[in-house]
Amino acid sequence: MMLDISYQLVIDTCLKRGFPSDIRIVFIELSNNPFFLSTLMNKKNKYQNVGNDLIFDMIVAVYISNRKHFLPIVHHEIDDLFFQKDIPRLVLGLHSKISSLLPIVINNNIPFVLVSDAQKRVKDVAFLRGADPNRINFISSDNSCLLNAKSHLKRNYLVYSMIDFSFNHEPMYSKLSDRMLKLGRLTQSPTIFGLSCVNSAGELTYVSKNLELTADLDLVKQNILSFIHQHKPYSEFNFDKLN
Amino acid sequence: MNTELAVLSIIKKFSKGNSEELSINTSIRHLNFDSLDFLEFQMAIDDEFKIEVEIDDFLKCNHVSDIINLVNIYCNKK
Repeated sequence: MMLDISYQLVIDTCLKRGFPSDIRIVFIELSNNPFFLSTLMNKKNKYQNVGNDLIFDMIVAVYISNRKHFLPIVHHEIDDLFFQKDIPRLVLGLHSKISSLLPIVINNNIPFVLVSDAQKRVKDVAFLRGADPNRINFISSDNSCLLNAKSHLKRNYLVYSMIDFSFNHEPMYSKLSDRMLKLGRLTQSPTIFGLSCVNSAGELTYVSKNLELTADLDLVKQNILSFIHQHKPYSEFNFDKLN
Repeated sequence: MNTELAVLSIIKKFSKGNSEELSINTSIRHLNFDSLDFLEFQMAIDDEFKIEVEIDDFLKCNHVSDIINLVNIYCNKK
């Protein structure tokens, strides 16, 4: 199969550098390559990532497909609420190649459950990042999803769920579901929304905001859209009904 | 109102299918509930009967009759 030229450059750079676990080395080399950057013009991946976020995703994709170990640097600005093990917490986010949060919750022994149907892939990626995949508990996104999530919230688990989805199998994740916001409101669980951005050094920064779910739901949704736009100004999301 | 009628009445509020066919023998699967419907239905049952049904018990219910039995068990525990 003919590979996209930009992906071929990522593969070549990874191979040349010997897949270092510090992927910043590959990131810096690629982001200083004007030809590589020119191949990314007007490019967006399915998570709507461009620029540094896109380069990072491409490198991670190559590492994962080659089953190479990697340790991305993650900075985080997380409210203390996140680490409080005696209250339920609902943490919402956007899909991405890798999660900034999983190693944090695993390494801090936070009881948590992830809403995902991609269990094998999530476990594989956790393993490649040196996090114990057996510590990840899952809830499937079927029609008992919210009940299962509620059950875990009642036991003071951190429930982690992505709220973006692709509409009618379109390639891009561009829709947001409000069902987890409704769960947070109905169960009166403290709810956080967060996402990750990649800086020019190839390091991840996880940023989050607490959601005030007692406010009008449309206002909460608008706050989420504004927060995403603030950190990913090129992305286009809107709320829609999840099929 | 007895438990059966009350449960059927709550289901009708959430039902997307033909609620006239609803009976205690109806399969939960045939209610066409989405995830949010299930959550709201379970909370409505708790509210109506002033009980706190364990969600794991609730998820084991296959038919409307199972929900009715579950409600009766929890009401009798009170």
